[in-house]
Amino acid sequence: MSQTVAPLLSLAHISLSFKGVKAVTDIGFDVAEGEICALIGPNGAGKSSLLNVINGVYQPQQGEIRFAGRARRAMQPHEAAVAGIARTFQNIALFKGMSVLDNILTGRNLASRSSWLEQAFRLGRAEADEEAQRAVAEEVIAFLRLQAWRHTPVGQLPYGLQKRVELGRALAARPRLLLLDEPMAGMNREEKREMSQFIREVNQVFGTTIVLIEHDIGVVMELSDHVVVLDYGRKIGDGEPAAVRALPEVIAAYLGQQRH
Amino acid sequence: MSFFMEVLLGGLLAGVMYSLVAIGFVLIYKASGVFNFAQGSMVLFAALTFVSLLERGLPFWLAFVLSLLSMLLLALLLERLVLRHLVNRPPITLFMATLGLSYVVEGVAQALWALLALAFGLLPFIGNDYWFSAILIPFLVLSLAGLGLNLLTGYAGQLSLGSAAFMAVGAFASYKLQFLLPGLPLLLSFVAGGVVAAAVGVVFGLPSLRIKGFYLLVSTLAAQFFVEWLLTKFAWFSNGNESGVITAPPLLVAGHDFGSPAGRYLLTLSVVLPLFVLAGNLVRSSLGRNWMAVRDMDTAAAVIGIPILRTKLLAFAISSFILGVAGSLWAFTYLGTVEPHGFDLSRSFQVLFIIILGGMGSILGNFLGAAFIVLLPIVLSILSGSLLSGVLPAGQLENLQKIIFGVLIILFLIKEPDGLARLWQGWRARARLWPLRF
Repeated sequence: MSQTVAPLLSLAHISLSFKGVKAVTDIGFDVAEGEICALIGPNGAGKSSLLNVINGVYQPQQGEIRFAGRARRAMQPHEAAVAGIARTFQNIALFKGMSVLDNILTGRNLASRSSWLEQAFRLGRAEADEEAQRAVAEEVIAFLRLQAWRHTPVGQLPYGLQKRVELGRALAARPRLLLLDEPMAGMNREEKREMSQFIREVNQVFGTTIVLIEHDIGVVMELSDHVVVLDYGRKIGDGEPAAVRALPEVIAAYLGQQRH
Repeated sequence: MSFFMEVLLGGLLAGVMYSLVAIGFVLIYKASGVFNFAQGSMVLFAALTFVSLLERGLPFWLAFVLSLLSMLLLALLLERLVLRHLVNRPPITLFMATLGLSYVVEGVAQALWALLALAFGLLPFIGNDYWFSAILIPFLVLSLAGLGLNLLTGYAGQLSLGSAAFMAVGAFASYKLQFLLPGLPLLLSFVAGGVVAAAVGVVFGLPSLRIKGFYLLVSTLAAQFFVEWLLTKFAWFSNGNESGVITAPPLLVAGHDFGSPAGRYLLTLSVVLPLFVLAGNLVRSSLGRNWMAVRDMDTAAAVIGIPILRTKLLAFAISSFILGVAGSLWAFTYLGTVEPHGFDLSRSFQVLFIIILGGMGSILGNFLGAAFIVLLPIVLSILSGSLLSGVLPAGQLENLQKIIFGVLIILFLIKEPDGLARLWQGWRARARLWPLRF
């Protein structure tokens, strides 16, 4: 990616600890607009913590987050959502009692312009507003081929489909930056292939910038434009997939070679 | 000469009416190309509605306006249910459809008052006072109270044992406002009582921002005891009555006295139904989805940008508003006289049972739960009167009721956590397939 354009997301000197236990230490990297960036590293390397910092679930003790030209000490979840950051979770965080359609519609909540009084009386902007949100939700449903399960409560769906619905809920917000925490965890090869395809399409069709965490190195190498490697809360690699794979520190961390 | 004038006037009147009907006919034809054969039946419908309303003692102009409104409603319904599905069909299809419509409208026009009977029309005339006072009115008021709690607990996921407190606030606020603002219309005082209850609800809802589940339950329990104590302790709320008893003022709406049992029923119904419609709209809207999102997983809700604080407080406000109106109705149209202890913890439990039995997160469930809770004691007393007379001492009946309630609640929580509403859906789905099983 060209270096002349300011990156969409830029982390600088982020440190995060929980009651003195360091999860992330002095990490900084840039994510260019339109790229797919993979965060990789062994379990406990601080990947999920870092995603949580980016969208405000955790507030780092040190560092700065610059997103879309605005620098912040830390994000708040709501702030991040308004700024255009959407995400999925490692352990699916869907609204289990609601249908697929309703779950995806909740992703549109920030786009809703009518007040609750208008909604109660079905007056003013309420009707047009609801139609507009439903139109977007239907687009997402069609894009992810979820039509058959539109009215099924998500709690009744199999795991792979729930992952897809969660992606749908994030997509419905039309985010600028999409954070995916292990979107393919626990999936078989066929499901992984399908999910990679969706991720690539989201990136190409909507131009959404994506940061994802993934363990399957094959998938990462194939999918991403940019890889950041973490180990023990520190960054040990950052660059194009092929270049990163060749770094000795990465090989050591990944293949469990002895460290000195 | 006078004969001539009579014929002339009569003819002119008839002509005016025909031309009005014709204008409507032309309007439809020009606008949509439909040759509306149902026009005549619609005229009949309007006429019958108007006459029926007049016969029920409504003033001329009120009946007139209501008839116009009912025609508007009929037209909207026809468009929604029939004509919308026939867009772009050949003219002959449309023609036949309007022919069919004319039969339906004619039939409905004549049966209308029998159809609406269940709710508005006939019941006040066939129902006896016992039915109104002891069954229908409490059923409606408790359904409304159930709705209030259901929005908060079933939809927004916030547990509450303070339902009766918010009902009490509504009742006493309506009552007090009637005295503070003489001439305040009755319906407006219900709304005002609801607004005061909403404000109190928000105050007691504030802890929900920090605490969840059972701890929140304790906070709403505090509301329950505090409000009851306040209303009993300070006679100001009951206009100086030492034991805090309030008595409903005459139930006048637009100069019409709704004091009879049938009148009180109609008044209750016309407050309860619109609130149900509004709540139904809300739970299907963006706010309703935000409520359910907060209920199912609040961290995920925050991440997708739902303002948790505002969403929870709105749930408390709207829920308490509805409970407040239910409280006003309980005091004014059901009991007539009520004291703070009428809104004690056991009333809160009663409302909670309604939504457990009826179904959390269901609008219909509130009616089912309320019907159950109102009818069960009556059925039991009839049964015990006929079957167990002499066997069971009168005092034991109440205990038996408690036992049955308790067992049912446990059974429902185990077997059908989604309540009667879910059972009803299941039966409906099965009935549609009957006699096949799948």
